[in-house]
Amino acid sequence: MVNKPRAVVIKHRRQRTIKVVIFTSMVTCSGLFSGCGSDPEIGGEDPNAVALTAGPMPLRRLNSREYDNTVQDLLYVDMQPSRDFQFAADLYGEFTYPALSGTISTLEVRKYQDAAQALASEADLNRLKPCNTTDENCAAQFIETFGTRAYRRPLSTDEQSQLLGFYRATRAQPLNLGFDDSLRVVIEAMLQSPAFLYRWELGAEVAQLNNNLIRLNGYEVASRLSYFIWRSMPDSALLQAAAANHLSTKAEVEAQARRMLNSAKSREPVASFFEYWLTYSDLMNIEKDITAYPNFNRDLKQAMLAESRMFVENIIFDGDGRFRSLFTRSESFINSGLGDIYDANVVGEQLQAMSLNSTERSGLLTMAAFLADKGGADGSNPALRGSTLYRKMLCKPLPPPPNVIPALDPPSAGGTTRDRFETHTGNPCASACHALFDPIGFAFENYDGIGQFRNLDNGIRVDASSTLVLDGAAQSFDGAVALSDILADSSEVKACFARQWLRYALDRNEYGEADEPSVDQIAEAFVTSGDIKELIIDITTSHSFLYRQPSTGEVLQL
Amino acid sequence: MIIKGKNLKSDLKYSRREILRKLGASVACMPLIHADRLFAQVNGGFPQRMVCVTMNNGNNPNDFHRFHSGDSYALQPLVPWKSKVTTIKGLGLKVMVDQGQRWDGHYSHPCALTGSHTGGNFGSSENASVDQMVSDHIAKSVNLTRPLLNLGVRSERDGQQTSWKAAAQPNRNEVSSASLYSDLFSSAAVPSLVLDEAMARKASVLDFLGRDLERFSGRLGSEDKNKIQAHLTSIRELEVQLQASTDASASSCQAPEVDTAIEVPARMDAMFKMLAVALKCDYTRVATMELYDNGGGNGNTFPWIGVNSDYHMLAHGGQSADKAKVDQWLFAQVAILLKELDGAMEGSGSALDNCVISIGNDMNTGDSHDVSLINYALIGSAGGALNTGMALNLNGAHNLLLTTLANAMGLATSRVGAKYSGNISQLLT
Repeated sequence: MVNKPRAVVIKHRRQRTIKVVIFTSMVTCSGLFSGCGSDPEIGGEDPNAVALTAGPMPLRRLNSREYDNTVQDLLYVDMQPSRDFQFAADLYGEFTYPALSGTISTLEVRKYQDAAQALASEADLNRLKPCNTTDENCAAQFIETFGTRAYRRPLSTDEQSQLLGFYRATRAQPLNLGFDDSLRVVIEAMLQSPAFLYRWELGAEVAQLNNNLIRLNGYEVASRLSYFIWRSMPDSALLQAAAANHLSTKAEVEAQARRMLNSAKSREPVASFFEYWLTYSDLMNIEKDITAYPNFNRDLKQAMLAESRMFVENIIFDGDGRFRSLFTRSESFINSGLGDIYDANVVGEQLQAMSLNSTERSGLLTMAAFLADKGGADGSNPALRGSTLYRKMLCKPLPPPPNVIPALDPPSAGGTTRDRFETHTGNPCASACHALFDPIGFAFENYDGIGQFRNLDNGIRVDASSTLVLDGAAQSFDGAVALSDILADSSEVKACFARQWLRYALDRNEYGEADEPSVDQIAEAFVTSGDIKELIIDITTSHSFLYRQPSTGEVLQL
Repeated sequence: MIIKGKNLKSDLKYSRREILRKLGASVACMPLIHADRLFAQVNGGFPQRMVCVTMNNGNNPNDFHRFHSGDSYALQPLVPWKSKVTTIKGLGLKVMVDQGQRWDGHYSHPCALTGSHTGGNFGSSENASVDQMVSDHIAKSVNLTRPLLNLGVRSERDGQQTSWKAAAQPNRNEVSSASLYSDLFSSAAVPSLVLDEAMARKASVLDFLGRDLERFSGRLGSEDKNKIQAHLTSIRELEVQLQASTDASASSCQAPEVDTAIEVPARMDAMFKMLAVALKCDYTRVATMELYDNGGGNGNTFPWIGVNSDYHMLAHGGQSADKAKVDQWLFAQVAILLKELDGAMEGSGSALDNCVISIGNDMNTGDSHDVSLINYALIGSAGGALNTGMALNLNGAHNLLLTTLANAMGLATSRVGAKYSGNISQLLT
């Protein structure tokens, strides 16, 4: 008997992203829907198998970096439209991309309009046209082949005919465009289509339901992979794999992920995780006291970001790829401007490999980008540095600050920054929170507002000794180098790192308990291996990555 | 980079309506428009305009409300227009206080112009902001090139928006002066014929996109459908604005000579000057301006006035001389707009007289995050709809002020926001 497709509207109760919700997970397939997933590794009866649960996949737009990368790959152009047209800033909050998952505003639609027009006129038509004639037949072929790449999935017959109709209209009065110009207008329109702008590669395919979850189809997996590892559209190999249904087993997905990690296109996306994770991605917007740090200009800020990025790329792609190395290595890439910060003798604007003083510089947390972004305008800021690491490296939440915050004493009151913070946070209203993260921040007191090493603060010797409870035990350390070493080996920190990476991959926070089985699986492996590339691979084969919950009101074709 | 001004007197001959008709555009492309501008029937036929400015990190209330007794340091730049200024003490974001958010100054932007807040640190509004409401009201009778202009300087780092199209639908700000210049003034350089073709092309693309979005939305869940619906609304707005830009009236509009460099002092100057032109030439009648971020972000200094401390840290340091300097500088930036508007004659008064510019803040004083009191200043009478030159001492919810602004601009609503109906009778003539 042939199962006729029928529409099913999902009406389950929405779960809130912040509260922890008990999610009933079932390892076996529900009898409610026809059949189980075809992958024998998923949803079987092995009690040791990872529970089959996953969070939702809310509709979201390409962010600025993704947009730029995608149009370059799609149209064979060299443009950076997000910069040329000053797209509204992507607002990142805990990897939830709130501004992108929320509603678009008219300003942004207008900017997409302007960008699409410019891109369409620059597009390399010769490479994009699959045929040489200038008739409607060729236009139809163009729409089909370009469309599959632009929408990251094959067009439906309806879409194909709508676009062909649009092409016809542009050839006719009053526009009366020639063949090539018409194709360019078609490109212009498709670049503004939601199928291009939004991450939702929903095709005409029948949805595969398993355990009330949807197994992403080949094209959705291809896009998820390419936007995770490359922050760009799938390449032809990925699209072909999707077309041939060769993204349906974990082994197939893993093979693609490895191939993609080996491509140079993965370097920047992987490295930029660290800027978002440690929250120094906004460094270009940070201003400092110019009397204290007259050298803190655009060039220096750019060099700081470039240094950290190069450091990370070098370890992950050209080095041992280990978590520990990120927080213990003293070799970096610096130019003369950075040389002034690190007290190293370097000539020229280009970043060069350099061994730094290992008692002062040992990994990402002792590099200028993090220290400057999380430093004060004219000095250190233990609360900012400490609270950032508390939330981002220990994955611990902070309660809100109290109602009235008394002023911090200025340096003229005497004492070191630490002294003045300890007085400030000694206030009963402050200590509940500050006791949690200031001790972490005090480890960085040797680094001033732009990351320069100092032994004296306000004329008094710096005290960077502190303690932290980590992995259930109190650890003592003196300075950021020692702290980095401890963090590098911590299971708690590595598990948190794995969780943050999953958020980066999914472009959202964990959804209640639904993503926890995947988090646990990935974290356990990473705590043992510390291998960042393997972490990325494990994410791509996890349930959270390959499945999604249907959204309330969604219509599925079964 | 300095862009020199050009005369923008446009004389397009093609009828956009004809072109759209021929393309078979939907009814939504051709709203009820009159060929000529319909000006509000106040003050000899000149339009009323409204600009809502939101500053951050609080004020010095004592100093602020001494303006009319002649003794305010921060508001000193407004002195040339003293008789057109009203200061308002005693209003606050009561809707936030009511729901336990009294100390959420850094998260109050969603409430500033909407009178509502969904709660939490990343909350939204529950309704459209007053600027959107007034803009929508004006759009019923006249089709402006830019019905609503949302601008910001250093406003997009840690905080939320002040302008909201509807519940949970923020209007993003244009923060680039170069981009704003290009958007408002660049078509003046393009020959008419080329412009016509470009407009026709845009219209056909927009028409296609409208249908495309409707189709795309078909199978989505309800929350995602809302996102596509918002996108579709924006496409419709662009269609209407396209129509307006080609129906440009014969009013002469000199693009300002501005420096579109990204550095703040130049950018502020450019933004306010361009806003002045956009208002005087009737490109827009409603605008918002956000100055500096909220959310308690760090990394803002003001070296050009000798203030090198971080703005947020400074605000938490109490009422210092440096904080006062920053406040005064910010009011001086608004004064750029006031000066430009007051210099344009409109009937028996100036463009400034036909405007109302409201200046608010995200909190009372910088060190407390307290929203139970916000210090407001209004400049201009909105074409005689508002009394000016007063130092008001009230006690109520800021919703009343928002409603007053809406009423003054011709929108007869009894409430803006979730609660607290009514307006401020002392203000309305």
